[in-house]
Amino acid sequence: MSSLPHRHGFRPVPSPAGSTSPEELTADELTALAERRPEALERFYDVYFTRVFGYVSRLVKDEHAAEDLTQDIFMHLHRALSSYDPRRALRPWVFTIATNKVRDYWASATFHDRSLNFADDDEDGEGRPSPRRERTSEERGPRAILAGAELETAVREAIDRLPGQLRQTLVLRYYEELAFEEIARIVGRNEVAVRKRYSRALSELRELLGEVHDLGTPQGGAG
Amino acid sequence: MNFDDELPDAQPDPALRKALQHWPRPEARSDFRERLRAEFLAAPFEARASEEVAAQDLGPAPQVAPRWGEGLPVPEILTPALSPARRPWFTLVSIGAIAAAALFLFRWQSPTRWTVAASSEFTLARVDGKEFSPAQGEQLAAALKPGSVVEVEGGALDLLLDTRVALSLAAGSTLTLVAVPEPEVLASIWLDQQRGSLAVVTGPGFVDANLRILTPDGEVRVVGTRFAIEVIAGMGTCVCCAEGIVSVFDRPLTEGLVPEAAPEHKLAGGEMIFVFSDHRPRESGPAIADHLAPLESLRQVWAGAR
Repeated sequence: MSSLPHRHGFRPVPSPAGSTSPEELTADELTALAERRPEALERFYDVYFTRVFGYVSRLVKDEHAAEDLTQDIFMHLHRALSSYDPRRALRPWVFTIATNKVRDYWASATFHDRSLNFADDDEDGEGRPSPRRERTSEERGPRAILAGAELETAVREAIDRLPGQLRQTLVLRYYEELAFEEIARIVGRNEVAVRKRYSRALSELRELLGEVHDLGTPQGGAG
Repeated sequence: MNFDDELPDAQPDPALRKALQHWPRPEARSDFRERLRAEFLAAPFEARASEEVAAQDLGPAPQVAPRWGEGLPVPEILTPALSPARRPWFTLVSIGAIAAAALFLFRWQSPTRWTVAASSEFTLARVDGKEFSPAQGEQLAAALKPGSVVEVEGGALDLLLDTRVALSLAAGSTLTLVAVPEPEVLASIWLDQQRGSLAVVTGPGFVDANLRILTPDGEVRVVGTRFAIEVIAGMGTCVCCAEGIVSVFDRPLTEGLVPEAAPEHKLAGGEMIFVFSDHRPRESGPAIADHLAPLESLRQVWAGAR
């Protein structure tokens, strides 16, 4: 039966509450959080503020927008805690709300005003706005970026060029370390599609960063 | 940080991994962090929340439809302080009228017995083509009728049919509610799972009921248990039983086909069977842990119903 195609499918066992890393809330803390006890709220904020702000910032670039969204997300989380089931994993729940807020932002007029480089380039026909990946003659090649700028800037710009859904998947998987199954539930797609997105994001990054993404030895020259 | 593509053809790329590590997590301004922290801990959102929450997506914690009987008028009029001017017969008539009205409302609402469980984490679901967000759990439940087609786009939609059965429909699944029991008329619960993954836990009200689930490859009949089904397009149907006994037939028992005419396999707790679309001999073995996993959380919905 090991050849059956669903061995790795369906819904893996969710992360049991309280059994994750020390940075996660314990089961008792989750119960207290659902009851919105002050000490649990404080612990939750301390654990998740940095994650949520970092996640949002990586997706929206604009610092003021990231702050507005983070504030909105925490307001929303506070209200939604009344319906939070402490038996459920907390992290996917938080990132689902954060992702929905970012989506709303991407769809908003504010976003379009602020991001002239973004358009409704639907990278996989799923109806979400995503950054247009234009490669005009004026665009700097990755080698030029790497040669003339900090590595951090080069990586950030490369990730910024990814279509929104690929960027979202990459950030959730690589930087926030969520499981594919969790990401699938967050973004509302199946796990296979998420894995493909992640693979595609890495592939595009390789292309964007060229053969010189080993930044210990950046290569010069135009890209 | 995760870097494994987890795809068969993916090759580790240390250079890219090293490059990505050079983008540290953006830090917030300390004054913003502290200001938001103060606001969050002081819980000032409650007052303004009520104005916004109805219009916003609550993520995987959907609005829960009222429990059966909730929302009926509180019969406070049944115990009023009698006015000296009122006569006893007036009070009795009032009590009767209110009771009749309450009974009417109760029965009027009775056809809608589906609720969206609080454990749902769906992001988008469709009923007969109409889209529902997590905040519209009550409307979604009200839209469920015999013959309705339910599709889940993201997350998992957990549905309760009063206290009889709990269903968890995973993303990418399509289920038709062929028939459900009418009020006070005992009948089969008959579902048609066209695709995707379905987890089922029968509840305390399932006594004497029966459940039939058709798949493209077979049929599952249940008399009170916990089990999971996954339909894999072009391959077949996998049924995993956690508890009780499940009858699995190689073909759907439709169009007059009687159970005796189709091969039947009894599946006990901890067992799995895979029925192939091309009618190859079915395979069996131990239940798949990943398929049983949703059942553990789903069964919790009955904790308060017993």
